[in-house]
Amino acid sequence: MSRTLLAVAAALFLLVLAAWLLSHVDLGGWAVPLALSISGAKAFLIAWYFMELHEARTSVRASVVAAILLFVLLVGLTAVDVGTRAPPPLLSPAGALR
Amino acid sequence: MSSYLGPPTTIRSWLFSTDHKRIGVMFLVATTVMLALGGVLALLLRIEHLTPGPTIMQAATYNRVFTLHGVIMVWLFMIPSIPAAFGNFVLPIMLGARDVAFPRLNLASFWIYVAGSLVTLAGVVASGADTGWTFYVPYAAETFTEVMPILVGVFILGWSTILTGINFIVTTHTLRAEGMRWREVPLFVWALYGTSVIQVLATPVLAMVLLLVAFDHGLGWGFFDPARGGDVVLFQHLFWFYSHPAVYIMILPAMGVVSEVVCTFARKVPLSYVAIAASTFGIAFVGFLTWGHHMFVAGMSIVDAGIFGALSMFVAIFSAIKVFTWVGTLYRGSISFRTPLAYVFVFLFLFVFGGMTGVAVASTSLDVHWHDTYFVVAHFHFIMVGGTLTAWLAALHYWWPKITGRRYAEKWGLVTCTLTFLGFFTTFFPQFLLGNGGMPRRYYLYDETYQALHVLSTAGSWALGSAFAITLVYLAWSLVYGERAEGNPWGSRSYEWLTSSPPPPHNFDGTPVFRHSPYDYHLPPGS
Amino acid sequence: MYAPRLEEHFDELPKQRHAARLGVWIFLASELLLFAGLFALYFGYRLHYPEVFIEGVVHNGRGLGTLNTCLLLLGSVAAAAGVGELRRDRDGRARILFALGTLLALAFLGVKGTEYARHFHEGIAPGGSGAFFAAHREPGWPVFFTLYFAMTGLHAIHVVIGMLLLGAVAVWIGRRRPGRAGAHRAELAALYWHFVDAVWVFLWPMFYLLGGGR
Repeated sequence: MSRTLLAVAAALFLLVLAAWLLSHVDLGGWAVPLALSISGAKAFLIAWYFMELHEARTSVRASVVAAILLFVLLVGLTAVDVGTRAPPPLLSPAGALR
Repeated sequence: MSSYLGPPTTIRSWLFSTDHKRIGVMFLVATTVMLALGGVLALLLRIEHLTPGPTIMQAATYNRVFTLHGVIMVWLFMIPSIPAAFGNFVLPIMLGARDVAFPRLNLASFWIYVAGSLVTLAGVVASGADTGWTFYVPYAAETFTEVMPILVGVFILGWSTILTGINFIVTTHTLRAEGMRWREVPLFVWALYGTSVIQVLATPVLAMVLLLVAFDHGLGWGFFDPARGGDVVLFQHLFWFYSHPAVYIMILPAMGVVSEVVCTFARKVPLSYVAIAASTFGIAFVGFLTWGHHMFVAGMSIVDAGIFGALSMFVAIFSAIKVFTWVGTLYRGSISFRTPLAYVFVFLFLFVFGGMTGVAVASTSLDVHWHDTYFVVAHFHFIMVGGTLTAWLAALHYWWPKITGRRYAEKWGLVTCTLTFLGFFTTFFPQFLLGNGGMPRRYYLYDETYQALHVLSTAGSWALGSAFAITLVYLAWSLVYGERAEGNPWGSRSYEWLTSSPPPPHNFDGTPVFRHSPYDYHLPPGS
Repeated sequence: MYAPRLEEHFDELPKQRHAARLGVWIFLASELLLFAGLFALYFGYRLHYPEVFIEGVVHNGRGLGTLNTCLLLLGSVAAAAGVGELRRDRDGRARILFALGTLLALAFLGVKGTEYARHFHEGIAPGGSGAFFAAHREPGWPVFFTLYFAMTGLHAIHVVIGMLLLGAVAVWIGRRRPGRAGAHRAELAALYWHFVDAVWVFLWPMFYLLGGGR
């Protein structure tokens, strides 16, 4: 097994450990972005080294980038919608009249 | 001289052929049948609307008819119409290739299309769905109508488009003729490439959301059930994330056809090759950013509505670039006024008209008034029928000699084109007025003040339907009695015309090396 | 002696291989978008019901999810190493590594099955059906668990496909002894497996770790 492979594998398991440890801490609003960042780093290592994106052609890399961008766009703008909706009124007008 | 049409001519040799030309022809036949089916449903809808009250069908039937008209037209005709039929036939030849990158996958695409279509039509026969082609929840999850086969059928169809998209992209990258630089790739190929990118990336989201609705409906999973905490607006986000780019899947190939026809029949190099090729990708990219403009009144947040409203304005820029480039190419060209070009003129007018109403309806404040009215219906029919179907007719006439080896009767072509335009305009222009006047879409009954416009629209639909029928007749006639076509009847410099009509089984005799660009009209013929 | 076949519409093998590789990558791009809708639902609903989602994650616990993460990662290491060995003409070692990957995938499915069984036993089923939801009535509980089943279920289907691909490669290496000429095919199968692993890398915190520190 090549040394690069072993190094990447070690890095991946270290990140697993980091994520596991952090999950025991109450990070409030930072929990989700932090967890996703660690996952992102792992996915990058898998894609770059295991899937050999580091020596892939432009067309291959472009398809990965495009997919990720659209993924983020869909999740992002949907989340923005839910996150910025006005809270529902406590009393409906009909309720207030009764 | 051998031709792809055979021998062999057995049914088996066609149905199991991995030859992209045969697959293209099979798609052409299948999608044309679907167009006819969807068209008949449209005619029935229009007859129903001749009177404000019930005319020829019950309300429940009406709901099913407009749903099926939409499902069939969008997924069984419009999406595959130009790419799977003409794209399959022409793209490899335009690149100087012997076939697409994955011929067996191509055949699989066709059979998956057939399977998906049959499952969908089974649902039609069973009882049809009454949800509209947009399957909004919670109704789609609760309806007693047979929505499941249609959901599953469309899910299956999605894989056909994804596989075709993969095939076209990889073919463009790996099977270009020796020495063909990116700048010499025909514009139709770029249009198909842009379309394929959208197909590959947007369709899976549709597949997933329809599957979720199927689970909600069939297994009671309640993803979108408000009683269990579901949020129906989330469905709409997922649905329109695909369905807005889907309209660019429908229009980009049409624009590719227009580019080819304009250059051939003006005998002129495009005003700017780069503008047309690059704007294709501009449209594909921006098309992904605008889906929320279908949801302005759905309960989305004002922040998101604002973002989507602003982004929607950008799409028109790239379409405008194309229109100006085409018009600039036609200007001072050596115009040969044949049927394909006649359809392109119709396209230019109706697409610009419809496109401008699109920008209008994408403005949040205006959409509040027009949403779910006939204004929107008219807008998208101007683009889909006035745009894509017109370009499909142009493609059909343009490549008819190449595909069949026959010439159709030119006079019939020009006359029918005129009838098509008049029929179309009479059908759909009144619908802008209806919608602006408040007539809602998908309504079975209407107030009698709207009747005059409805009657006019229905009369137009008969003219449009007749034109389509006449077209099929003279094209079929030409298959038997038409004059045999030579290799390049239009005098085009695009690469597909360098081989015989119809082409030999491997497209070219020997491996082609193209020594000119596809729009080199300034060079003398024969160079 | 294994010799890859040149299809008649391609002029040279490297082009054909590049085409296959690009085709697989574009397919994986579409697979990523297949999951995207579900991710959008997860984060949308998490914004709607933050406390319920945290409780749901706590309920799942860390153990089995973490075990599964390690199994998949080891599988990826095995697959990557297997391709490397095949490139060095070491068919025997490559076959063992791909077989190992297959077994790890199978183990993952076993653990998943155990998890699902445990959930059903507790009265948790998709659609908010089951006794658990009678005791947990806040809106958001059915959505959380239905998403859990949908996302891990879709992922598990992909694990099955990946497992079959790795297994097929292991068998093929054993039979044909292709050496480095066979690395291309093994590479494509491994690509799919790595993708499956990469998706889980996100599902793991979403359903097993993001429990507010508890």
